[in-house]
Amino acid sequence: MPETRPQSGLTLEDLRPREPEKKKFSDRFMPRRNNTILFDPAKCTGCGTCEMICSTRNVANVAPASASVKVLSDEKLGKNFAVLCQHCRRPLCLEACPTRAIEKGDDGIVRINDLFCVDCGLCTMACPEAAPLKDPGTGEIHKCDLCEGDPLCVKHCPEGALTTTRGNAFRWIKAARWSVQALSFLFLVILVVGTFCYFRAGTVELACPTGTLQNIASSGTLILVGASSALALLILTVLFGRVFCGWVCPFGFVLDLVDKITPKKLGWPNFLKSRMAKYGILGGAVGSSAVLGYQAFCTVCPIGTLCRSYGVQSVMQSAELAIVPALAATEIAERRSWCRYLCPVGATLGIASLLRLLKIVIGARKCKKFSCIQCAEVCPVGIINADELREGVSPKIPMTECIMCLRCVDRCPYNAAKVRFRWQKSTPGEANA
Amino acid sequence: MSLYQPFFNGKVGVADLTTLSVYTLDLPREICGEHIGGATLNARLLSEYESDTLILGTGPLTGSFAPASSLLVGTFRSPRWDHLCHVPFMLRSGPEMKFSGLDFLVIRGSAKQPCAVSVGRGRLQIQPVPDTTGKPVPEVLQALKRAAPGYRGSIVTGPAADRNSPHASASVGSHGSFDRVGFAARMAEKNLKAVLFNGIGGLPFREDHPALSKATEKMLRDSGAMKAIGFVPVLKGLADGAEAAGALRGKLGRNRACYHCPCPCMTYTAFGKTGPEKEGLLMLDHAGWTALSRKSEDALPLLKRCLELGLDPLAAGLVLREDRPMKEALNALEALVAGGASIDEEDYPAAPGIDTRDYRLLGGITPLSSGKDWTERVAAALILGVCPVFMQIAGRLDRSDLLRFLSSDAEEVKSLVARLDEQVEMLLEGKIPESGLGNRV
Repeated sequence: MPETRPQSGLTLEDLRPREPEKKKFSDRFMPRRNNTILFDPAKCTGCGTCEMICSTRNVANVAPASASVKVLSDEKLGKNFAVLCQHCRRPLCLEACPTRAIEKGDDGIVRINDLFCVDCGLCTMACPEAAPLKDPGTGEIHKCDLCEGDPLCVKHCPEGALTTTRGNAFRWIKAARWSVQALSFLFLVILVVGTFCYFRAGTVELACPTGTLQNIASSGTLILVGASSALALLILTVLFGRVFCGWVCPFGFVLDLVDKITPKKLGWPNFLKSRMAKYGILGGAVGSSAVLGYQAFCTVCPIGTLCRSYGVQSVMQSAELAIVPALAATEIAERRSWCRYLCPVGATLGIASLLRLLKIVIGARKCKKFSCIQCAEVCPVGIINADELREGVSPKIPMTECIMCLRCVDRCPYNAAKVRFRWQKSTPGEANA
Repeated sequence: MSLYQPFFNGKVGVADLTTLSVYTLDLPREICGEHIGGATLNARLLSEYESDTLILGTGPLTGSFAPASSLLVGTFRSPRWDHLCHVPFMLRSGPEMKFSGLDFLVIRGSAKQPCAVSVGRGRLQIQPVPDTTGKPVPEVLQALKRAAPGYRGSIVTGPAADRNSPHASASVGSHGSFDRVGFAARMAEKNLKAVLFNGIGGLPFREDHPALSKATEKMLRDSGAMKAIGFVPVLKGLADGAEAAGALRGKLGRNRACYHCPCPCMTYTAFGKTGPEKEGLLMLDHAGWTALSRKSEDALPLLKRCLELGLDPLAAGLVLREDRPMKEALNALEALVAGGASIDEEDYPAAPGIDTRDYRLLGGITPLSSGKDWTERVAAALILGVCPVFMQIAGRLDRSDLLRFLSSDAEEVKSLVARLDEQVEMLLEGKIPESGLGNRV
């Protein structure tokens, strides 16, 4: 019989408050990966073996009603679902417990201290999954403690519907992105002298599409060479989404660096939080260019000024020097505030991304939603709705706003966030795109 | 070794519907040791009571870590043939009964009004369930939820039993069962609409059970028994199964297993309109589906109606004429419920290669094997409290593999095998062990 939870013999050790979690230096770069149980409803046959084995640990009997896991069946549609503790990163049960009997250990396991638990059941009400289960016989609260790291239900599930995971060991996308961003910065700002707005590398000509739009508006003529140069970035956007913003933009790299220095955010006033503002700025830039007869926005464009004024060989221009730090300071308020609300270059690419081939989906089957929400936390442009995740809904990602940084894909411990072609189904049974 | 505890609660509940009284008795150790449990112990208990008594009982392995330990056996004198019959009830019926604190339930007499017997925490209750007569099974279940909230398992009857149809079939929840021999008719005679279980207790069984369970599962996996799982692979094992399986193409969903069964033989199926009106059924009666699908290209609505009416799909399949319009076919089912149609006694229920008397005696469970093999495997399963369909699927699993869950001693297992053989023989004789009233346990 598996090891049973101690029913008696509590010592003073149990009363001693736990030491606060010690943060390691490596946690800053690679957050700790705790063990957790994944449930695959497609494999579950509803046999209840998980309940049986769990109850042997809880009450030393085969008593499915006293288990910390519960298998629910939709008898009409034939869907089985296992209710079990997800060991949330920020457990609501912990906050709801009036006697502070629930605690989250360094190992990520959320436990109930039997000594303090008064079986009030508030945790079952606070938990979005109702995972702390009230024993109908004794009234005690049973909650999964992952069998201290080696769950019996996982071992005994005959169909392999329950598995454990610690998530991805190495976040290679994050490493690759920083490298590409640094190289782009080096190339566009340091090595290529002059401007991002238009440059030629051999026979290849590239131009900023927003600058080109302003150029057309100010000159009143369509210069085919310039327009075709601008197409390169637009085609890249159609193929891969706004990868320029996420991977190449040198000002985006600066913003990401500032974000690292200022992890705490002051917040952005609600009345300024309009993602449509950047489209207005784009329209204003094109319109004012037409009126003024020169590319109006380009004079204050942080990407352009960064390329023109900050390179080793570039000419330091006093007024332009102030633009980059001034706009980078918006990062103190919210991550990538400039990109979210103001950048007209992003707006142009956002319009181009309406024709995108790719999308990002948060799969309903694998996503652990309220217990995790790491994707929402790491998204630099804040387009993954944490509230939807908390409600147990797979969030719809607005791809015109997505900068394709793939941080969500990289961070998701359960491989639920995926890149898909736009015509592909997101997840069986879910239409989230 | 004791067959008594930790495998049984040691309690027998008796509900007398005539006097509306309930009481519990201790299960005598010697009877338990002699008859092992399940169908044979049921038959022994039946000998102590009136001939119209219904006995529901569990085996020593019911609810344990033995594979497919889901069985609850109903034993009674069939009103159709006036001989002993055993009906298997699966899904979670057996464990729910055992974990409710009773191992056996004796239901005597008959009530004046429709009633339900509920079992929970070792206590019995008889409660009236008015306004359920003549109503379809799902509506009866809804009414029961109001009358006895919180129950976890149920055996109910539908309009077919209420109207004394000889082809009524008791239903486990709304999913139907393998009752082809009149258990539902006997329930209706007693004005017993449902038996409800609330298995919130537990039993310790043995400490080595989880490890034994894993070893058995590995053996089954190695033997390939766990490869062909689901309703269709099992259906294909029947004589006319391949054709019946074809009728389900593209309509099948997820597999469903009974309690602790590693080889699920049931599958959900979806039909009807898409969207919120989408309907589904749990397909569990292989022989019933084979019979129904022979009579109509789209037999799922017919099966659904059978389950709603509490009618045996196999009987319905035999009565219906081929390729009738759906409306006519549904009307024919209503006629069968009203007792307006009859089936030739020679034809029903029977299975090729199996002695008709044995087939009826053991409840008409899916005949995946034939002859003596079927009879002995099913009989052993009914005594031990293991699903008889699983016993046929798990061909390499023999009795000693299961009896290891009762004793870890090799010699004791040998003696248990011999005793089980005796009990199987006795069960197949179809005799009630000791007759006569006044000798009650």
